[in-house]
Amino acid sequence: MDEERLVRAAKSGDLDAFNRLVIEYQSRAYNLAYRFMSDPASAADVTQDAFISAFRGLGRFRGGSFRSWLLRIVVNACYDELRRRKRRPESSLDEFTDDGERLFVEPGTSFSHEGKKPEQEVERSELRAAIEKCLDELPRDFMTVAVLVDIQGFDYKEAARVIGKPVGTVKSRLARARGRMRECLNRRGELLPSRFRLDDETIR
Amino acid sequence: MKEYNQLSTRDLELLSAYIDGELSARGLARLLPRLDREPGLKQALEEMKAVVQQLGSLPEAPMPRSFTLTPDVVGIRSRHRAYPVFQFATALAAIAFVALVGLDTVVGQFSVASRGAVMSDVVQEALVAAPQPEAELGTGETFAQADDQRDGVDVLAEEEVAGALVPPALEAPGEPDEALRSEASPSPQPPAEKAVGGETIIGEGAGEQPAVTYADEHAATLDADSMNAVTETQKSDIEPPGDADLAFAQETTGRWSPASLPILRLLEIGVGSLVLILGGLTLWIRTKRI
Repeated sequence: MDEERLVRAAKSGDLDAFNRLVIEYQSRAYNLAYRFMSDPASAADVTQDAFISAFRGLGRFRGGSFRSWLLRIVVNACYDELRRRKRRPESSLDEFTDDGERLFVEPGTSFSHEGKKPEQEVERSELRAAIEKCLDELPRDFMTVAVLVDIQGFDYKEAARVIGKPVGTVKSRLARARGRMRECLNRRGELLPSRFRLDDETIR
Repeated sequence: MKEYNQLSTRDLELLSAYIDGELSARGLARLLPRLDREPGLKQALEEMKAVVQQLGSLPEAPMPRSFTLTPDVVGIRSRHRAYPVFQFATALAAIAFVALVGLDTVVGQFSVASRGAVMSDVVQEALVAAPQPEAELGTGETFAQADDQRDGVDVLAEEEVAGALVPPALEAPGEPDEALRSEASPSPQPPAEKAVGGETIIGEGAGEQPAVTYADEHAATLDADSMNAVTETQKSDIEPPGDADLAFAQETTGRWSPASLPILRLLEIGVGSLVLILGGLTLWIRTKRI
């Protein structure tokens, strides 16, 4: 994929070219939004809004990494949505049953792992739910760098471009995010299967 | 033994950067000896590695749908299919127009220069040809001598003729008639100056009244035969004007007719009009979206 050519074409209004970029990055963008929003519907809405904003704001893209620029828009869209929710708390209709009872969807439970034994699947699902819960408890700034570096595999420089901060800030936030994750997982450690516990025995 | 949660932020950063391979050589030199000395620090490192590993093991969330945009979503409509064709055609016509104008400029400059040379040759030929009949009449005076006798007005008239680029050939055919009409004039004049009258008539357009009078007076003394001889000589020396000369003359004198325009100019007008039409159509199609 010739990204520069596609970006140039998209800048001149070629929607097809932009959609090729969307196809390339939509999974990363959605997953980043999903970690922020913690529910698929909101993450999808935010991702869609971010792509629309990106298309309309292509004129402001001055070169460099298109992926970083795009994911920065996604991060900002997530922050905006979370701020909006904080001002006007609301519940999604999807979270209620026909009887009006609220559904609790544990994060990560929708992912299926075919070919695994049922007990393994349950253990893995519990661990995943615990990690996601701990991620969700992190301050947003810490969570962002943890998702970018540890989940999406960005290096420090690109993560710095996405969040618009110096590399030193990324290093510092990431170290503290990892530290807090460890504390959180240890708190929940009793709930985890023994082989996933981060105690001295499993590590050594 | 130092517990994980007792680590300083600085140590956490060192361990975190070490795991990612982002630690500087200096930081590495400081950390590695400490890892050997401090079991708690080493344990903290292993725990942090486990956290990173578990975060990295999180599966990608499956997308509920594709996020590709449609024209309606972003509020645009696709341009008409013919738009790029018209755009290209307009550009092509514009380039052709510029090329034609450039060619016309180059050809025009060359043509003016060559016409100027031809005109001056014709004027000179006419000047030289005029005294010959006088010599046949036995006046004994040269053209130069006669010219000396004229006042400065005649010279000025000739210069103005040459300057206005009016070809003498256009006026020359009328000259004998004028001379013949003036034959009835009673005032006799020296024969040496008679033929010169032919030259001064050319200056009529410049409004040189003394020259015209001079010509009329002098032409009256010519007998019909000699005058005819002069006229024939001049006619044979000066070829009738061609179409190009007429067109050029009409151009320079401000008279215009479509037939007088050269092909190149007509092409310019045609291609220029095409550029305007295509440009207008392109803009119109641009607003028509599908």
